[in-house]
Amino acid sequence: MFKKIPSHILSAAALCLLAVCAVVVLAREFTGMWQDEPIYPGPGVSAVEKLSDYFPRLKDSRGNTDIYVLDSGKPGASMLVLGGTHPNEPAGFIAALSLVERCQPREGILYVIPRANRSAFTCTDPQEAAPMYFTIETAGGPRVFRFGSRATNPIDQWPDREVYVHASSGQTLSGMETRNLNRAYPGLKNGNFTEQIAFGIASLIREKDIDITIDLHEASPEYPTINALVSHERAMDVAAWAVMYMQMEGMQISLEVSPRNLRGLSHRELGDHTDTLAVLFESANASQGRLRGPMSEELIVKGVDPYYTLADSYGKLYVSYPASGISLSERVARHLCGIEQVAVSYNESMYPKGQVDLGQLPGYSQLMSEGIGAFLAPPREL
Amino acid sequence: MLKIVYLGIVALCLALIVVNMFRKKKNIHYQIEAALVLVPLILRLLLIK
Repeated sequence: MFKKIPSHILSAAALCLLAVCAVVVLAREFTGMWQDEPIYPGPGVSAVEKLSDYFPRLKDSRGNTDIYVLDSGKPGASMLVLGGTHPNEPAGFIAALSLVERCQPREGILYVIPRANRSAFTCTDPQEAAPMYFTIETAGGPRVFRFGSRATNPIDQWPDREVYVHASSGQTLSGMETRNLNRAYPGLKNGNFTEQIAFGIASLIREKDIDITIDLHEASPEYPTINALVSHERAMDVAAWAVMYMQMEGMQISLEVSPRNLRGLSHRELGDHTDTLAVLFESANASQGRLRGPMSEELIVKGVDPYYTLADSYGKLYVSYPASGISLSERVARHLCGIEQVAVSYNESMYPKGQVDLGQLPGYSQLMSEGIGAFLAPPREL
Repeated sequence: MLKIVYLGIVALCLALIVVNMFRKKKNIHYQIEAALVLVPLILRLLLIK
């Protein structure tokens, strides 16, 4: 009565079904990376805005990131902290996050963007064997965060050009920089997706007349600009004092002036194209380096890498790399201490708009002894 | 525009692979290889990365 179905049709149908099942499982994994992990705004947060409030074209895109406003209620200067410009540099994101959850400014106003390039949080760099997540233990349990990519997700911007031409200067860079937010400043209204994010951030700075902008980064220990504060020339006075204060706290940190011939970076372009005092911090992250051993969550969080310690013993690094590693807590502590000292030196420079007082932030030695997890909010339902 | 061309090529490859899997008596190993190729192609077509 029924015609027998040929065996090759049955096997093809079964394999197609299996392929679809595999797609469903993998799609859940991938789309899980598209979700923002929760941030728990602390008592200092007075409002949460969106970048699209300043550049509406970003609405309904992954470039539409949250801006946390920490208004002291007392008139004064304003500061913008950018974390997550490169989501494979987690100290910047975690330092910004801890400001949102812990900081209570006493004077002036603080704006924090923990995920400056939100799209880059949704993917990882190919061929780097990077873990998708890393975990920080807090008093109330573990919190899991995305370890993202240096560049915008190609889903949001593709294809990369062979040569990236920086819009406002015409400087040519490698095509791989096309999706790098920190080569896209001051941004372009009708530019590519990454240039539009940069334009949104520059629009926020212009509209709010932000006095100080701090961009938080990390770099590999063999990179010359490391454990450094890079400053636009207009911010050099403030930056020099901040570096001196950090050195007085025992930190190894150097001051570098923003190169005029390297375009698209926040400290160069935001300083040139807006009135803000633009600076950038770099800390040493072994997970980004070429000399590292196995790439793992532990390397990101604890920073222990015998190969970097060996390289240091041969004098091949620009930072000292102890066997105990350079932990995420230490890198975040450097960033937070740097932010605090920039605010202090700005206040001492007597700028006419007044001061920005960030209140009581955890100190460097306190963060080193207790770890960053002690200063993050415990996980909870929002 | 390039994205549409790219997705069109991916969709065409997918269709050809599936049709070929069913078309005539094929070795099971061939069919397994084809099924493995389907997985990343479907993810790419859906822009899931």
